[in-house]
Amino acid sequence: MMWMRQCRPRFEASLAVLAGRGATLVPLKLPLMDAISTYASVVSRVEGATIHAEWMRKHPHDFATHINARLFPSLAIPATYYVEALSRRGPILKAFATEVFGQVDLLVAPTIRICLPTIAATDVDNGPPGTEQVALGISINTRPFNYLGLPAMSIPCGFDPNGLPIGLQISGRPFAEGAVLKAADAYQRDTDWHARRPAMLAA
Amino acid sequence: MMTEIPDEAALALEFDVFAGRAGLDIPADRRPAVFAGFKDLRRMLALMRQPRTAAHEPAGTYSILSVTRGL
Repeated sequence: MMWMRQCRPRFEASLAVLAGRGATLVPLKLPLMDAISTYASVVSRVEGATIHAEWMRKHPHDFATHINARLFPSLAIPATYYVEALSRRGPILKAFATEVFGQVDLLVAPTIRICLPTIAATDVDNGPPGTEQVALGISINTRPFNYLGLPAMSIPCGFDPNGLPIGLQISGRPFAEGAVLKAADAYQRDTDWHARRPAMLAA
Repeated sequence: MMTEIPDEAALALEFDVFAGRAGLDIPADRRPAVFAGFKDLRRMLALMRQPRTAAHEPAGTYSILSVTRGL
């Protein structure tokens, strides 16, 4: 996989920086990802449809076909499912936080699990089979924290071979915003990725 | 019931009723894609209704265990 070859070295170098600051690295398999994915999808679909419904009704062609296909049907999601997706967030958060943050203080992961794709590579309506998976790959590492409401931030940790930025996502237990910011600050004291600009912008 | 997936013809009828009730004027060139999205959504929603126990009650999310390392 391209990410493993081109972006993983930067991620591992970032882990080494954190280790140099005294972090103990513990690989984890995150729990409850299927449930989180399902309920997060319900919440984002309902809220996206609500936000865009009026404009999409009047100007459907202002949206890509796959966005029409995602948001129009989302108006059919029963309120009970939306409420359930929100109410399940509490118990899932509790179980997730207990298991993960019972073992570690902070969780670090690539912000995006693929190398940053081009617009053409994410053209779901016109691309080859599998294009939708590429598009979904952009947000799959950040959505769980969005749904769970955990503090998380992304900081620059390098550039891929195309000169595009790579992000390191740091997240923490509920109300651990301070610890997340502290870790990011420590990382940025030992690196200067946040001060560099992609070559295409610097030119 | 959302837990059961009707056949294609019934889903198409359900989709048209839904679109009518929601006041959607879906362009003809977008209908196949939106209907496909509707079917995907129905499949996803069917997976949501799972057995649950009293432990699924959301009260008390921010317990001491979820906020601290006090394990």
